[in-house]
Amino acid sequence: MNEREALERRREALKALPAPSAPADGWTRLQRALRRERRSRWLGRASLMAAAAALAWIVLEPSVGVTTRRAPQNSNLAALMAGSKALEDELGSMPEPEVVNVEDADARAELEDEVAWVDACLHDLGSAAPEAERAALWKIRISLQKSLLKARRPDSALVSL
Amino acid sequence: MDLDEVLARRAQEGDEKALEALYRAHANAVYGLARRLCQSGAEAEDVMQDTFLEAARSLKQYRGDGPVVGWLKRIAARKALQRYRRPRPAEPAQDAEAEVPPLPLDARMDLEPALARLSAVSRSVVWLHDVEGCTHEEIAELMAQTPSFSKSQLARAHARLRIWLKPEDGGLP
Repeated sequence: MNEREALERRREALKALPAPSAPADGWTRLQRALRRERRSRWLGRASLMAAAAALAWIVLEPSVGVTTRRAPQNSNLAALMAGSKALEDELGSMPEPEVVNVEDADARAELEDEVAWVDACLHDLGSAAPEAERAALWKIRISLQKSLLKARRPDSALVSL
Repeated sequence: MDLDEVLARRAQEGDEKALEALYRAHANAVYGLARRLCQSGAEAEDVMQDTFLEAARSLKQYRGDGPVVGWLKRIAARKALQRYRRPRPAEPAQDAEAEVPPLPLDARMDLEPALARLSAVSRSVVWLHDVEGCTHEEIAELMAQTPSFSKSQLARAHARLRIWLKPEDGGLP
């Protein structure tokens, strides 16, 4: 066997090696990573929205920096808080969902984490924070609660708030 | 338009089921390549996941000018070989590998262990050139090296395989 034939034989042997199979849980792990990515993009956008709302309040509120007077709680913020409370009650009254598959359970857990994150932000802001900033977070909270409601009961007809 | 292109278009529009179908169709091919280019199964799994994450992000850039599996494999090869651009203390030096003496016939090995004995860079060049059909220019681009580097790596790797392998797998008689 000359060198050229030996080289061809090595190449054929290489091509004939058995191909290793991808791990069985590869898609589940990829799906989780995709959701983590989407979530971090979402959190980035939510932070930007909150920052933009705070900036808008500073620009549009003439009394800022001049007086320590608290803006009166307007009906918009109160309505958002009441809406979120109603959704919370609705979620609380629903039976604990059965785990149909891991992906759905993961998606619900992520939405619950995001609601908890918004709650932590609202807590950190405190009631003295600019109203527009708090309203932006309450809107995000409501949107997450609606998604959670949908995830727990896909056929539910949501009453618009 | 073939099935892959249809799936790629639907995945571009955010259809996760289409992305899953693409994953299931090509995961073995991508993982198989990654496993050959990486040092361990865990590294290959990371490369595979990074490949599909990047593919999901950049599906809009896929123009359908070649098979989807080829596009995915290029991403996987780039990601796997990026690891060798960084210093790797655990990697045996090329010179040390070159000092391995020729093996007597009764100590010759099968192809799989012989391949594993090559350095990661040499093994990658052999695999990309001889199995995947990449040119030296393409390998050089993936490795941020010159085509001459790729050619010399391939020649040295084959010289070693010739010494290590049994004759029936292309080793010295």
